[in-house]
Order: sequence, then structure tokens, then C-alpha cells
Amino acid sequence: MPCAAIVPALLLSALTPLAARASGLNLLVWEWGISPDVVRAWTAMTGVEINQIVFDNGDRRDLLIANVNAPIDLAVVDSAHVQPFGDRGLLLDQSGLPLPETSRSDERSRAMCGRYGVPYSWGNTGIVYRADRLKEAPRSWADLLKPAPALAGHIAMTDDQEELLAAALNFMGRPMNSGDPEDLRRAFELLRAQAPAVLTYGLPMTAQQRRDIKGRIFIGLGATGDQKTLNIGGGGRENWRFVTPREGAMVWTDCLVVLRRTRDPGLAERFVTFLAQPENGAANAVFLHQPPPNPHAAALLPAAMRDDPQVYPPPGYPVIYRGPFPTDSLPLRRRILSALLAIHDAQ
Amino acid sequence: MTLNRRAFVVLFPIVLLAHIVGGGVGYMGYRHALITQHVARLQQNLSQLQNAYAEYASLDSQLLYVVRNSSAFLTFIDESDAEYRTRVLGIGVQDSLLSLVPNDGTSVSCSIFQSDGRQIFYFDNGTDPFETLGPRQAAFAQAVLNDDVTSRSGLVTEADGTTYLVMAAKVQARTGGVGIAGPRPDQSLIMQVSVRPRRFATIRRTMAREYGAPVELLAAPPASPPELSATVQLAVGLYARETPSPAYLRGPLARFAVVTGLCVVFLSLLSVGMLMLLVRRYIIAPVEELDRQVTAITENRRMDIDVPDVGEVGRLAANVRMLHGQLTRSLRQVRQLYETDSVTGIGNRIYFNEKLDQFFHLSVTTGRPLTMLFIDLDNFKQVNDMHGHRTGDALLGGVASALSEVLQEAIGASGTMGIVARLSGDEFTALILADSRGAVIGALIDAFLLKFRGGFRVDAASYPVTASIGVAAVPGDAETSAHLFWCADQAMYHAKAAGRNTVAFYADMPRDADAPEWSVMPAERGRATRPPVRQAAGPSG
Repeated sequence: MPCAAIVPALLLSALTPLAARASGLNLLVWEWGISPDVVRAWTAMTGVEINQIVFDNGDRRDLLIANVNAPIDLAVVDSAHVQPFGDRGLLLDQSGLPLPETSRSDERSRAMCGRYGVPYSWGNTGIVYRADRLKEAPRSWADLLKPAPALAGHIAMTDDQEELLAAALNFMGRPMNSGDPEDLRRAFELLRAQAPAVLTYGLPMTAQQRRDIKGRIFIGLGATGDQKTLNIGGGGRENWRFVTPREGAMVWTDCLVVLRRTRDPGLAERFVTFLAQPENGAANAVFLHQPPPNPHAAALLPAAMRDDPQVYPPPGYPVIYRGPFPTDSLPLRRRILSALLAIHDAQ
Repeated sequence: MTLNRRAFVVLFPIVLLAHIVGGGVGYMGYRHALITQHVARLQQNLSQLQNAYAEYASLDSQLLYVVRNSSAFLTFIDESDAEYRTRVLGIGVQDSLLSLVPNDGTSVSCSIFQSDGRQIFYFDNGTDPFETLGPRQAAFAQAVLNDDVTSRSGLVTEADGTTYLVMAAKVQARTGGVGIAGPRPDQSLIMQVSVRPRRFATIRRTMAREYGAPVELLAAPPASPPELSATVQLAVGLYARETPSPAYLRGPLARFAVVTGLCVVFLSLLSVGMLMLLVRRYIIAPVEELDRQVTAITENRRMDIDVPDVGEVGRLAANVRMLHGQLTRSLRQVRQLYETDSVTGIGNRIYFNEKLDQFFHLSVTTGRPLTMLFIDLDNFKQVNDMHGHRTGDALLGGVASALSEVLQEAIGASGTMGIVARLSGDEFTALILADSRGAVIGALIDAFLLKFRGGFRVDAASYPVTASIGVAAVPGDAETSAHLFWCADQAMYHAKAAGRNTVAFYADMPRDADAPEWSVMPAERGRATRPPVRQAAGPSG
């Protein structure tokens, strides 16, 4: 897979004027968030190109969706963010999309995505680490948030305030979407204490691409499947691992949404239908190293993947489903992230 | 008081006063220069403060301009759904702001207020996420909202002492255009950017610490600022003034005053010393020398005064010398009159007494023999009675001349010393430093007696007078000068008793039991050593 060549092309695509991509569908998606094979199959079948616009931060993704001038047809959006956009009238209602039974996701996923989204993938927040650098696999958030001295300067934390605070709150035994200022204060104190040991605030898989960071990250905050992206640049050595902390699996569900401003809603919904097919869902899940929300697709997965604790949360671990975040807590959450960045920059 | 002391007493106060005045002028000059220098430094510091303010004001206005013109901001203020605005759009305003903030730790905050005064957005890039907009900054925004202005900037200091450079502007809702002036227009929002001017605050703090007084922020320039003070304009209606505490220059001025004082004293002493040296050399020393010479003259250690040179002291010396000469001459004349017998012109009794003591002392100390002749004229009274006192006086003068003449002849060849004097009436005496039995005395007596042979001749007239001479000498006859006088007197009486016109030596006189003996009680010896002076020196029997 020509992964290394694709990345800059995808990044450039975000800057390309709308006219240049008029012939295809513009998809706002996480970096490495869709199987190239599946995309090729779609293009082969329809002749329609999929132009990927990548993001690595939920807030910025939302801003792009909200920007009526941004040429986006479809987007992969966290389930907790779908409803506001739908209510705002920015998304097409997908509840009437005629999907065959085999293409329908499980009820929980569908409920999380609501009427404006079609379940795309799911997974949980956890820890990515380099097995060749850590003697023992991390088991708790404490291994990341209160790191051993040897890890100082080798930690990558995301610059997404939801993920960052979710880890801290989960470690503290508090709800990951808590809006309680006292919870957030304690979470901030925890993260501030960790800040001196942090190498960078950014998704490990994005930060890893920076020349000054490359090879220096040993552990980081990630999500199911991030180890796959991190290992892409490893020259065949799969040193990166993903582990779900014992405090619990904070499950998220990504939904595929069609923006109302798309010039070809029919084509966009065709693509949604295409991706929902069990074979494509399974192929995509294999690529993403993430469980598919469609049980028919899951049934097509290799047995090893179905039993892989890096893909499915280990049995017995508490499962926490991601819910909406209180709006009035968002300014504070964003300022906590900004403060951590300022503290880190001042070091 | 000596001249030196007088000179010091005169010079020191004047020199000290001059140096004090000089030191005072120097102190005032130094103070002026010091103040000028510090005012320039104050201006420099305030210029830095002004520059820092200008930089932050520029940043403030750039932030305000760029953010308010960003699409994120326009989208944000155009959104009426508060929840959607906060959830989705707030991050855009935040990004617009952060994209312009220099990554140097500058603290910036951005607030948006609705026309009803409610704050709908706040973000700062500080390290304390729980910090909210300070109440005074919020009041600043409210004031802009309520006042008839479109924008305003200024420094706001919160209760914790932190100062912010705040800029607030009215923005038209929906369009983002410049807000309408006037109190609370319904369609206006307030956008406010606050910058924490750390460098500005640091300079202010440093200046406050250095100058011992805070940098004041004034709305108008001070009308009559103190001497040591500087003011700069930071913005329209905003001035910064620094007036150092009174103690700021006290240290250097006190040090300078002490040094100046010491210099004044030192230079005064040095100047007085040099002046004293010059005054001594050119004024006092000549006067002292004159004084020494006059003193030496009064103490008979010198006879005359050296006239050093021209000028006042020279003239003074010359005058003193002239005065001294006149006095000496007058004294000599007086002395001569005092010691000269007015009838005969030779020495009188006073002169004789002085010479007797002098010769006696000389004889005792040198061992040279001293001989005294006591001469009494015989029959002089008859001449006086027969020819009158005028003739008598002429006779006495002739005798004195003859005596002087024979004395000079007698001692002339030997080179010894001798004097003649009239004691009283017809009594004469001669004192010669010579042996009484020697040739000098013998020749003198013979020559003198020869003058009376056949009568004594005066002016071609001859008078029948003769001379009886008593001779006494030391060593041999007497132990004191008075005793010598007495011995000669006794010898003279012996010569008269022996028939007159003859000479008798005391040493040859028989020691008669009835003759009076020289005896003087120890208590009376002092008085007895000097023969009584007879007042009348005229001829007598």
C-alpha cells in the first residue's frame, strides 16, 4: 500500500478548490480513516473519486462542517456531535435510507448515530505504546497520566480536549463527559502534573510524522486502530500496540453523515449504502483495525481479529458509552487544553 | 597676640568662607547636573515604557481588527443559537485570536458582550483555565457599551494588581461593521481584547523599585511637575509620570556634600597654610627680623638695624633705625651732660663712680693694678674769696685741663687706661690702670705738682694754690672700690697734714690708733661700696 505517498496528497486535498473536485465526493474523515481498497472498489464501480479531507481534532472537524463554504459532501463524525448538526439543518436525514437488513448496524450503534448518521465504525479510547520500548505493557491510565520517569519526554497526548479530559476523568472515576467544574479542575491538575513529561500534544499518529518527533514517542493517548497507522511507518515491524486501560473502555461510535449542502445527495447516499455493505464494512474494519458496527460485517472478520483485545475491548472491562458533552462546559474544556499547551510551551 | 596668630585669625575665616561659598556653588552645580542626568535617564526609562505600551497597544488593535474581521467571528456573532454558537463556532474565534498571538508568552484574552451586557464568549491563552474576565475589565466593556463612543482603549488594573491593556469596540451585530455610537444600541456587540503587558508591567515594576515610587498613570500631563520628574504620553488621555522618592538622590547628594565639606576644610587649611607661608615669608619674617634687631639693640647685643629693602617694612626699619640713631645720640648727649662737670668740662662725680666700679672690676678680673689719686687744691678758698667765683671757676678749669694733660702724657706712652674727674669743689681725682709705685704714676704726679710750682697760671695770672695728693691702689690697699676711695681720701688728708703740696701713699701711712679705720657693717656694705655724691661741685675750702 502506497501509504507514505498518499498522506501529503490527502493533506493537500483539503486546500484544493471545490471546482477541482467537482467530479467526485469530498469526504471529511480521520487520517487513514477509510480503506483505500474499499475506495478503489467504489471508484471502479461508479467512476466517482473520493476526495478525502482529513482532520485530527474533533473541534476543527466540527468547524469545517459548520462552514457552509467548505466543500464537503460526507463526513465521519463522532456520534455525540451528530445531533446538533442535524438539528441545525446541516445534515440530511438518513433515517429513511433504504438499507438492506445485512447492511444495518446494531441497534445501539444506530441509536448513537441517530437519524442523521449511519454507523461507520466504533472503538474505544485507550493507550498506544511501543512494545519494543516498554518492558511491560501499560494496563492503567496511571501508566500514561502518571508516567514512570523513564517515559518523560516520550509521551504524546492528543490535542482534542474531549479525548484528553475523558482519559483523566475516567482515571479519576468520573464521567468522561462531566461538566462539573470541580471534576474538570481535578482533571486539569492531573494533566498539568503530567505536562512536564509530555513530548507533544497531538495525536500520536499525526505527531509521529513530524521530523523532530519521529521515533521519540513511546506511549500515547489513542484509540482503537491507531496502532495500525503508527505501524505503517515502521518498515514492517509492528512495535506499536493498543491497550484498553483497566479503568474501562470508553466506547465511541463514528457515524457517516451526508451534508445538506452536497451537490449530489443521491451519489453521497449511494456511497453510504456502499460502505454499509457487510463485505465493504468488513474490509474497512480490517483496514482500520476497528470493530464494524454491522454484525454481518463483523461475522466476516478473521477469527483472530474478533478475539484481538486491541480491536474489541477485553471482556470484563467496564464499558462506558460516549454521550453528549454539556455545552456550557466546552469553553472551560477548551481553555484547559489551551492552558496545557501554554504550560507545555513555556517549559 | 603674635603676628602669626593675627594672620591666621584674619586669613582662616575669609579663606574658609570663600571655600564654603565655592563648595556651596559646587554642590548646587552637582545637584543640578545630577538632577538633569537623572531626568534624562527617567525619560529614557519612560521611553522604554512608552515603546512597550505602543507595542502592546499595536498588538491589541491588530488582534481586535483581525478577529472582528474574521469569518469565524462574523459567523459567531451572526449565530442566534447560543448552544450551537458555543459548541461549534466558539473554537473558530479562539483560533482566529491564537493565530495572531505571538508565541512568546504574551497573555491575551478576548471577550464578546451582547448589547444587553451579557458575556457570550471568553477565551484567554493563559495557564489558568479557570480564570475569568476580571470585573474591572468587564466594567470597561460595559462602559464602552453604555457610553457614546465606538471604541476605547486603556489600562485596567484588577484588584490583584495585575494590569491589562484593554481595547473594546462596538461591533454591529450580524454585519460586523463598526458599531453605532451611543448608549446601548440594540444592534451593537462589544468585542474586547485584553493584553497583559508583561514587559510594560516589568518596566513599571523595575522603575518603581529603582526610584522608590510607582509610575503614575495620569489622564492629563501634570501642570507643575517637581524638579526630578518625567512624563511621557502613552496614548490620548494617558500619561505616565515617574517622580522618584525624595530619598532617591539623598544618598549621592549626602555623599557629595560630605566629600565637598571635607574638601572645603582640607583646601581651606591648605590655602591658609600656603598663605601663612607667604605672609610669613614676605611680611611677618621681615617684621620679626626688625623686632629681633630692635630687641637686640635694647639688650645691647647689637648697635644698628639692617634695612632689608624698600617697601613698608624697609621704610619702617629705616625709620626705626633713624629713630634709634636719634635716641642714641640724644642719650649720649644726655649721658655726657649727666657725667660731665659743667665748670671744668671733665667727668663729674657720677662719671667717676661709674668708672671706679668699672676699673675696679677690670682690675679684679684681670689682675692689672689700679691706682687712684685723690687731689685737693690747697688755698683755693682764698683765691675764690679774693678774685671771685668766676676766677675760681677759671682756676678749676685750668687745673682740670692740666690734670687731663699730664694724664694723657703719662699714659700715652704706656698705652694703659686712665680717667680724670672733679669730685666736688676743689677735689679732683684720677684713676689709672697702673702700678702706684710705677713710672706712669710717678711721672704723672711729678708733672702735675710741677704745674703748681710758683703758683698756678691761668690766663697769664698766677695764683698761689698747690695740690695735696693721696694715692691708694689695688691690690694692696683696698678690697672694694669704696674702700679704695676711702684709702685715697685718707692719704690725701695725710698729705695735707704733712704740709700740703705733696703726695702721700696710703700704703706708707702709719697705722695710727687714733686714725679712723675703714669699716663697713655687712648690712651697709652695699651702700658703702659707692661713695656718697656731693651735690655741690663748686670750689670750696
